Amino acid sequence: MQSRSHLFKEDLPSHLNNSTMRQNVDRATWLSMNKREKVIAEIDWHASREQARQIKKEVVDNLEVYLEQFIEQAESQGISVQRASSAKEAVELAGIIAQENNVKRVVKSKSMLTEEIGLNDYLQSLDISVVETDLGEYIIQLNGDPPSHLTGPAIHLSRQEIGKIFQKYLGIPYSDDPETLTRAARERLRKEFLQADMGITGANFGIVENGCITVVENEGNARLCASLPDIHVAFIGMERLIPQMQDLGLFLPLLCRSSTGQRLTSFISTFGGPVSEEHPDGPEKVYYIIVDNGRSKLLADKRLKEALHCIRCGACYNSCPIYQNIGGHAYGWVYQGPIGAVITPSLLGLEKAKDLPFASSLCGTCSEVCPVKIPLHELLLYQREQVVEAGLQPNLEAFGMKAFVNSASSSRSFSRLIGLGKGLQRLLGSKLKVPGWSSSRNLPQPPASSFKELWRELQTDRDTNE
Amino acid sequence: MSSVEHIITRLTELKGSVLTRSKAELGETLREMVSSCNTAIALHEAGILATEDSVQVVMDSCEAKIVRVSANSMTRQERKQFKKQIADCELAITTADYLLADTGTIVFLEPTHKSRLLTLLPPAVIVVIEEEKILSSLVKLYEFIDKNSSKPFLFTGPSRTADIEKKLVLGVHGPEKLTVLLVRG
Repeated sequence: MQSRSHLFKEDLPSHLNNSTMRQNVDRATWLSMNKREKVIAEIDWHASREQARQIKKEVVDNLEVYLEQFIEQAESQGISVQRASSAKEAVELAGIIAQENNVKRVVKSKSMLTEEIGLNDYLQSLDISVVETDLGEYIIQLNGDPPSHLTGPAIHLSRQEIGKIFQKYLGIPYSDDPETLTRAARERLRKEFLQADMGITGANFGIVENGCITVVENEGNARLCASLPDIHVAFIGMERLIPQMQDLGLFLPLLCRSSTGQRLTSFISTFGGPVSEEHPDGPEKVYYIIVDNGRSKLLADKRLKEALHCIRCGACYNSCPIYQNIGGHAYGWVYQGPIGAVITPSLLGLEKAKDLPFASSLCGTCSEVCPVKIPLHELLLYQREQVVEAGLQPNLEAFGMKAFVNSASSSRSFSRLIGLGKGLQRLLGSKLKVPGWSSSRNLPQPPASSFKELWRELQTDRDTNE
Repeated sequence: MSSVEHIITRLTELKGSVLTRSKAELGETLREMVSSCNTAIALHEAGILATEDSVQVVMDSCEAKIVRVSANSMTRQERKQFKKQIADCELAITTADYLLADTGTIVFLEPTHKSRLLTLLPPAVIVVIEEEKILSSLVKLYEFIDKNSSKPFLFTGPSRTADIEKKLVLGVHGPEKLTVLLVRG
């Protein structure tokens, strides 16, 4: 997917001015957080997330070994497995699979990985129709929008906006009733499901011990994508592995409770290879495409590899005061909120996303809600360091920091600097405008005497009185 | 709370429904539940549904055509037919392997449940299952299922979405109506 992350600052005012979006995002995030809080209270949160952290650390720290095992197990089930190092390679592999099998119509379920690599555009360029079947994804596909949230891609839209989209693109009479709109989507998409040659899904987890994948959803569309067409293709991020089936007993509750505040989602499927003759339905061919696309860059960094523990729950988005106010599109790419701000600079390149790690108050709520204990706010700070060390921060800031280092290095020059500042403030009063500060904040008023002056007076008084 | 009460609470919260009946009442209950069906019903003859002559009961109780789901090998043509038939069913009746009390989850394991579409395409699903099959939790389930062959499908409440303004809507792609018929004795 094309990114706009390098235009973060320029785009920001338009997002902040979009009051409909802000209302919708505010409602959605607070609803999610409230639901999450209730169900997290039912489990041993601290023990669970620590255990989850350790399991993911074990996997990521030994990723190549686990990947080999996963692939071996998958192949023994009759699954055709390929690894793609780049987005280009990944989509081309999908294209080859489609062409080998004379695929003309594809149905797919929600997968951020497939958005990341630009799968839909590529397959469509080969004259293959690709229909998103997740309701939220279907809505934004009709409207040509990118997703604005991990689990609720259309939460930035109001029901009226969705009603207009359906009226325009599906030709149905206008309605803003969610049930009516959902029913219309169900009808249209049921037809697509029944005609599709190939179904594409993502994978929430890859199970190393048996080469299966687990897909977590509420609508049933992912299970349909994997079961109705004769061919099932699953895109898997290379870091999304867990060692054993029984680890699902830990990860599924963490994922579901953190993302939508449910104990478990409606449909949780564990899929394997092509079905045998005894099955009246199910795919005849199953392919896995395991994607790198910059993840090994994260893996190679001692601090950032922890970001690969992410189970894509979206709790950090919901909890982030910045995300709550700017929405997902402002981040300019597929991964948004705190995790997006951490990994996007590495996946796209620092110069393409240098503002993202700075779009944070470092409140740390993201780290608190992360079900696998990724220290997100610490990694945001770390990415800021990378941006500065690469010399990418704004010139004024670089100059200001240098000036500060020079003057604060001695007590005398620091006092002089402060004195200068106070003098300027007294002289100009409210006319003193500090770039990046004064547009939305007041300057603190300097006191009549500084602490040093008061202390000196106190000392003098004391000396005099003794 | 007993595990049965737990299941009832959870499934009700999830907008499904639960009926508890004795084995002797099974036939009569099925008869009532299908009496208004008039198009097609998919019926998985396994477990408790195989032994209780349910096919006969269902056939006698309504005008709907019965699509029988069994484990016999099918040709390509037959599989194509099957998909169309299931897509036209207004109701699916099946057994399940386990129920999980703490989440209200119905567990289908692949060795027993070979059709995925059975519990996906029809808008209403009835799951007939014995009380003894209730387990406490997901963790318990993973303790003893076969890691290679089980490929569990965890079904927790009807198909749902909140993609439009976070308003809950049921029956997006999968079934809208879920009834669990809990059989005791």
